[in-house]
Amino acid sequence: MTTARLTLGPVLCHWPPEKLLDFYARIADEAPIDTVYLGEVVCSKRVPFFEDHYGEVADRLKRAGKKVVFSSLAEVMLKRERI
Amino acid sequence: MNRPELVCPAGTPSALRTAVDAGADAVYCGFQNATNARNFPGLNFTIDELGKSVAYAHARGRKVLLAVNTFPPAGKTALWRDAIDVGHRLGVDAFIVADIGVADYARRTASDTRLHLSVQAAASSPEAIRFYCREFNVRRVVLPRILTVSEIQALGKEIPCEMETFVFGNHGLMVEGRCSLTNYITGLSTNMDGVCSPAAEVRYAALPGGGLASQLGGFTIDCFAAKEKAGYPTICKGRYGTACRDTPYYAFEEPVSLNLSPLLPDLVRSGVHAFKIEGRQRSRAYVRAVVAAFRQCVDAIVSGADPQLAELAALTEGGKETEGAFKSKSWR
Repeated sequence: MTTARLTLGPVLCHWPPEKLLDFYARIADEAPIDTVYLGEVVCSKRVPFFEDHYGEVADRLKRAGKKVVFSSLAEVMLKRERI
Repeated sequence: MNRPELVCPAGTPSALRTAVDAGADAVYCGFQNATNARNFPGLNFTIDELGKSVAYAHARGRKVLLAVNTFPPAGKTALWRDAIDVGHRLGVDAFIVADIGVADYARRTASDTRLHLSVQAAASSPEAIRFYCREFNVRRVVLPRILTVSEIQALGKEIPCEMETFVFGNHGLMVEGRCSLTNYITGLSTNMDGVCSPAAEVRYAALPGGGLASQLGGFTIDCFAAKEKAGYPTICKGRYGTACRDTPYYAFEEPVSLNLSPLLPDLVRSGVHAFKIEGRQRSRAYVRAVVAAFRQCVDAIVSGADPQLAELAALTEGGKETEGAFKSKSWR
């Protein structure tokens, strides 16, 4: 029998960085989740608010035994989104 | 100047003949199942009907493009393979595909039939489009309705395939091929079952005072006063009460139709190879009027004359038109 595994998709809401940091800290410490998808998938204008934090969030999730996958934008159109 | 192809919708064999007779260069259609994105009862083609329709179009020098543009769920790919096999046997001129598995199958088993990338694939960047060209020899991309004319012009210089843009008809704001709103209410997927707001779930309920409520799966999507024309309950175009407004409003978007006829000359100059009219679910009268109007428009542009724009507002959804993102990003 296979064991069910849980995956958390990228957060779609535009939360303040503190709230997002707190959310991922709780996922790392408290949630029975195996894989976490990080990254901004909705709007590239939101990226600067959180991009400096991805490293530390990913490290913390990995230390908690989670597999971390980085997600990119769902709809890429602009030059700056393609770099 | 290149002569752009006019690509027109057909939900039935008679609509296909109407579109051909009204001047369509190519007609797109689908089978009566989940393999195409307009899977409504009473619409689409049997194998026999498609065979006869291909013969009708080819006898007049026109093309038939087969939409196989939904995403097969895991374990249920046989239906999509069959659609490609049958379309190939009947000699359709191109497959319109969105799913990479379907694209791969068509490339391997029907390599002499052109592949067009459906708008449902939502390929909007040169990298994404070049991927489909490289991996599956896609010859034309149907662009998502999110690019401005100048972005389309720039994009054309970076990709090795033809570009097709929608110019008239339904205009949704969702990421193309990714909308899950219908799933939430009906359990059916627009992208896998091919149907947004399935007819079996639609009800119109009388309201006190003579109005009508349009409902989907028991949820009210909109309420219309006695004098208002009641629309189809498409979730993204309903009026909803929310905490931030006193009265219900179009929380997603207003029901408007895309009409790019004023931008056609710019689109031709931008190197667009084909113009697509939406509306496989629409009547023959609609197909005839819209196709004839755009035929006249395109011919005028190509011959260097000023296009005479026919009055199409009456045929648009709710009588309202938009140029969407094509003219400016500020349209929302």
